[in-house]
Amino acid sequence: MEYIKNDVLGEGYYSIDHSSGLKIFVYPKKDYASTYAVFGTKYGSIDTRFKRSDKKDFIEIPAGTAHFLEHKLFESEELDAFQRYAKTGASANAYTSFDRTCYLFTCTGHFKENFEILLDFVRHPYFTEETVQKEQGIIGQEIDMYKDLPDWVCLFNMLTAMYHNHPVKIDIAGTKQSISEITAEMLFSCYETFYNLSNMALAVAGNVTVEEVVEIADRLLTKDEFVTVERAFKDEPDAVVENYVEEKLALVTPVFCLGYKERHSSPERTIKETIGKSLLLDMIAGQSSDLYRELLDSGLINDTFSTEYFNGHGYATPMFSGESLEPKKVAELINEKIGEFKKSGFTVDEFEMVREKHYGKTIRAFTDVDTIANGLVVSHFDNDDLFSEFKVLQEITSDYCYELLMNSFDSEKAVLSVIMPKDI
Amino acid sequence: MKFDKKVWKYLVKCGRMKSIKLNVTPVTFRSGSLKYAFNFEEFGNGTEFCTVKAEGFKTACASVSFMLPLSDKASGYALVPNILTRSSEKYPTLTLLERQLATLYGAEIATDVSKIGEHQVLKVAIASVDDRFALHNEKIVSECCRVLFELVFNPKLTDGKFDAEEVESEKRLLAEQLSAEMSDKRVYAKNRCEEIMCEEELYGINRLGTVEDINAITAETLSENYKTLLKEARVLVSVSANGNIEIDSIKKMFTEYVSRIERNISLSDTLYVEKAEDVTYVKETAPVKQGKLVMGFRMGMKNRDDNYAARRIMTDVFGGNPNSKLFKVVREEMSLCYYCSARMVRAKGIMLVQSGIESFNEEKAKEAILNQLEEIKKGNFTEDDLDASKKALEDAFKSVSDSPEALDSWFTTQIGSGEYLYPEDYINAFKKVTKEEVIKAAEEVTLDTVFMLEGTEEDENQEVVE
Repeated sequence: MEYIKNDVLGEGYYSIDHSSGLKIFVYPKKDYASTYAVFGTKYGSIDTRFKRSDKKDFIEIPAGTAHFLEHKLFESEELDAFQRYAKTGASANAYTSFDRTCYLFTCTGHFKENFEILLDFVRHPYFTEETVQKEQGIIGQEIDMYKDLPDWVCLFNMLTAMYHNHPVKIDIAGTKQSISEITAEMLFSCYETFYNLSNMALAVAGNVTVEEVVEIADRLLTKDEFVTVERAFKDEPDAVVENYVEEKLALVTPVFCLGYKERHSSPERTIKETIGKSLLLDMIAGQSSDLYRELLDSGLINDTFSTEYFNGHGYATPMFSGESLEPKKVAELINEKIGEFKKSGFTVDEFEMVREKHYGKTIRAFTDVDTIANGLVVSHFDNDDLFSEFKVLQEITSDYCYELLMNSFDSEKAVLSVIMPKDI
Repeated sequence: MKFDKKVWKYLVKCGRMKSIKLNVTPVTFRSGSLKYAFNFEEFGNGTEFCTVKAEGFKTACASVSFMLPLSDKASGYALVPNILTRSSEKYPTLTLLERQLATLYGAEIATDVSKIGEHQVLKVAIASVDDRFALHNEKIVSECCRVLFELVFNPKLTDGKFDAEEVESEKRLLAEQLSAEMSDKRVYAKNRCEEIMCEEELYGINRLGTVEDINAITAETLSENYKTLLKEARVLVSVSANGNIEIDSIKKMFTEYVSRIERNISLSDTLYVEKAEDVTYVKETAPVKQGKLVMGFRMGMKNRDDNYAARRIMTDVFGGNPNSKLFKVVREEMSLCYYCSARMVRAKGIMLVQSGIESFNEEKAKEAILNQLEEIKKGNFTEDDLDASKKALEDAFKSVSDSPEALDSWFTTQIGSGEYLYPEDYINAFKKVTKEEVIKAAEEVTLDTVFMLEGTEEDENQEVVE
């Protein structure tokens, strides 16, 4: 057991290599009323082709399987997980993203019972062919709901125009077609592969002690055979599929998403690069930038405009998104501004201002137990530690950010995705 | 995935105006092991100042809220928070303001327009890190409060008017915000149901008004609205921060700003319609994949406090959590939808059930929803179900004390309610609710309006699924 402390915050967390093979984190916050626990596996929507370390062949599964399994894990032979939580009052949920599936609860009492439920149901899959089929109706409605959300569709259209092969372009929940191919046997096989404790992480933050967590983990978690999973992606060409993509949906103001496909020699981005790119994006088009003001004043964007460095295993793109009556014009002005920055760089003042702003944001993030617990799981899957952001923000230089700028934002690899209003 | 803040946010909205009962002495509560102290002061003329001090907060949050009756001027008032946070006398451009916020370690300004019963509440808030994280010993929280008061009480006016160009720019942004809500079909369907149901009542007015009304605003009318607001609205200032902040100097700062204003507040009561006479049905179509069904019910309430706890628990047993009737039957057993839930609007005495369905399943879904309400009326739920709802609400309410933002919301949404209650007060009231009271609460529910937004979009995968 190791205690990792941060001097700025004056607090820290325990990192435990549990005998079961699971990595466990405990971040005590004794002043808090609530406790938040999250149990996650490094298995998300992009994991459609993989190989277990103890098997010979790669297998391929339908899109949306990780998300489908997330839904079905709540089921049980007797009381399902929600019914069990109903007895304690905890608020329970789960989510599936591109690269992970997480089960969580938040509570202000009965932590022990809640934590036992979490460890128990995630470790005991139960479902039948019949209940799997029933779930297709529910998830089918979830897919339809997302298909009507302009921002969501806009993002996936951009990814589809950017990536020839990478599965990040496929909707996390899959399609009605792909989920109709999912069987109970397939779900069990994925469970066996990805829900191995050595591929998972558990984090608890809030009103809790490390002893409580360890005691329950010792009692409930049995050792798994050590298995690793190898992800296999088809080769992804440097070039984008197309630079512009447009679709029509029922909306009033058009929405857009502009990204720049990046090519990297390793699949994962470091925290330093992620923060560097975020600072860059803030200097280019953040709320205190000249460009943001110009775009706003000229009526080209509204306050939904935002920037993000979108990245994960095998994909990375700086991204600008929002609503605009003239998305092409916005993209043009962003491109122009990037060109100017590439030519003449940015001032020390501009850099320092965004750095201080990110420092404040980082501190504020440590108020939320959900941000902390999820952050612990994510940083573990990224082979990173939760507090590295503070160190990076201290050490990062404007020269480094300039170098990042010069190596990305290639206008030939830009993709603009637009959703226009449908004529009614 | 995040904790659904709506659970408590919607609960404490007020409606009926009553004489003010003051919590003049500071009260200290223990929740978990966190100690927070709430202090309330009235400065006269409907101006209130509340402070929540807590040990251990890393962040702080301050806000100014204005409350006034909903009217056909809703758009004109809704724009005020936006124009106030666009610039001020001291920060004449948005960029200068943003830079000031950046140097306050990324402090953030937020504006909000909400509807509490038949009142419109306009809020400007600022959030920052606590003073102890300052790299050069700055008093961050006090400075943030100063920025907040400067924005709200010292706007950039020329000849008593806002800058016409900035007004035009903010009008566009507000109109686009309203348009975006129409594009989000879930929000659109909910708003339409409320609008149809309360067509003859002030509650039927959208909190942002209409796009036409927004477009008709001028620098003159907006400036007039701002002046009316300062004079006639109920005002609540809230500061939630770590225990070490110097609240007296912030209070003094505030009184200096407000002492210049001549106040004469004007407020009215929310109309509670206890029972629906007959059911109104409205159907619209849109080129979307998923249909949205919204059912609006009258709850039999006479005012915001009329048997509130039992009705709140009843709503939860019916459709408030994953153990509820609607989730278990309409979603899990019948596979009709991904979401189907019930929400109570305490400040108006209504309940809304929302669900996203295949449009051809409309009749099946309506029937299933009404059947589940009948089940509650018949008492077909267990003590365990009742207990589950009580525990879920207790759990959610207790976590309010964990962040300054949550505490700020908790107290500011009680503006005008007549008294400021703590999460613990509600938890205690919920605990006492009996099965009979829940049945009675369900018996008083009547269906008023059904709104169906039918999706006309072809589903390319339909055949595969069927």
